[in-house]
Amino acid sequence: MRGCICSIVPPHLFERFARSGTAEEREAALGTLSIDHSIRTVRVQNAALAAQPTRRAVAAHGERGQPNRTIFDARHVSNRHATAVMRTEGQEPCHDDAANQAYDALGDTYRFYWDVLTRDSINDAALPLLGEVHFGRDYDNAFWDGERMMFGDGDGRLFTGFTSALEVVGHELSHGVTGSTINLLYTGQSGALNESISDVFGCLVKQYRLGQTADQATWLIGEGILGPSMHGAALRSMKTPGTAYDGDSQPANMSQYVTTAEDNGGVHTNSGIPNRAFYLAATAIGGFAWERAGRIWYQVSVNRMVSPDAQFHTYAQATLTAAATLYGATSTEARAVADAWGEVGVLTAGQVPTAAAVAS
Amino acid sequence: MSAGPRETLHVERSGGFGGLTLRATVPLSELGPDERTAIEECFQHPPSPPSGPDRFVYRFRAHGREALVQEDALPAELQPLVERLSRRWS
Repeated sequence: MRGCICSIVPPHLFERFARSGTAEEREAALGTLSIDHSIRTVRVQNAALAAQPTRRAVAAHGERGQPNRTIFDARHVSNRHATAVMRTEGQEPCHDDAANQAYDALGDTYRFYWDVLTRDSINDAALPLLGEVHFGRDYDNAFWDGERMMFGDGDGRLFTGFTSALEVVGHELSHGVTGSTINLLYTGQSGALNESISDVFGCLVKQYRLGQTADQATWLIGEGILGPSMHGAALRSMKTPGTAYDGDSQPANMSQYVTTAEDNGGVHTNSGIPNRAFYLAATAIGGFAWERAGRIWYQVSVNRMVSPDAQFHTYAQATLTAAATLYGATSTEARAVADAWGEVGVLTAGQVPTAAAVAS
Repeated sequence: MSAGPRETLHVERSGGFGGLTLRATVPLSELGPDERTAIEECFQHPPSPPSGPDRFVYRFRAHGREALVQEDALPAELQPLVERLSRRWS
């Protein structure tokens, strides 16, 4: 349906789609409308957002809105894709905890993207979700390889595994979403944005699953997977970057941006800056973070509002445009986003577009 | 690559989901001939582009030379080495 809604469609049809279409029609109308900055458009979108029913009702068995998961046993091999199937869609739990955790977490992540953002899997075209557990030997990592989610068991010293933390799975799958939308280059600031977007949506997947508001959430990434050699609560804190564990060096402000050759230019370090900006915006807006702050961030990706080499300030300005388009240039949401990027030192007052400039 | 009795290979692993930077050292004399050859070839090649999100990045240093190697560009001969190091990172 998304492809059917293009710029030659009269505005009243957009409005009809946005108000009363199916979930997909509504999302497509919103996506198209979001590149138009007129006041009228904002009014239409606000009406559509206010009228959104839950999208669970849209899905029926075998139709869009249903995940298609397969979990494989990597059997500690790391140089080729595994073929030993442990659990496929709809099967009862198997004997392996990691496999069942991965299966459940992939389902929760799929459910978030469909229910909240009407995105049908990573590519918005029902891509099957494939995961491998027991990847490598003592492997201290989880990653999305472009086709599958890979989960190591951890070495028991630094990490105890990766499948038990829902935000880890949400993070990895969100790398797939970024790869199929704005495809941010994985180095320097664009790489740190790529990381931050995965932390943002990883956290939102968990908050949605737990029904937590922005105030109730921990905003921690990697809770419960640290081994005895790591001292702390998690790997990253979006709320207070640099405090998650002993040795956490994430900055919370642009003035402490880290220039390094490690980790592709510190992509997991400097992500603390945009992470905190999202936390600040979400808590200032209040309520469930996925409803408004998450939707603003997602608009930047799904409407490809930045180029792959985006820097922090260009991404920040895109979130401002998205907020103004969705909720109005003088809205609480737009103000919260502008203030958040100001507080982390990415945008100065002179770089924040005025309400009149955004609305024109 | 020659291997004097006190010469050391410094290995650094950064990146991964955790973004931890960890280090380990190995006496060059502990390396097999295939491993030494593979390291030597790494020194001679320019770094490859990032493998993908959350993959590890290795840095090898010895004899004043260094190589940055993305995880999926790691030569097969060096896979056993990084697995041996898995409990020695600090």
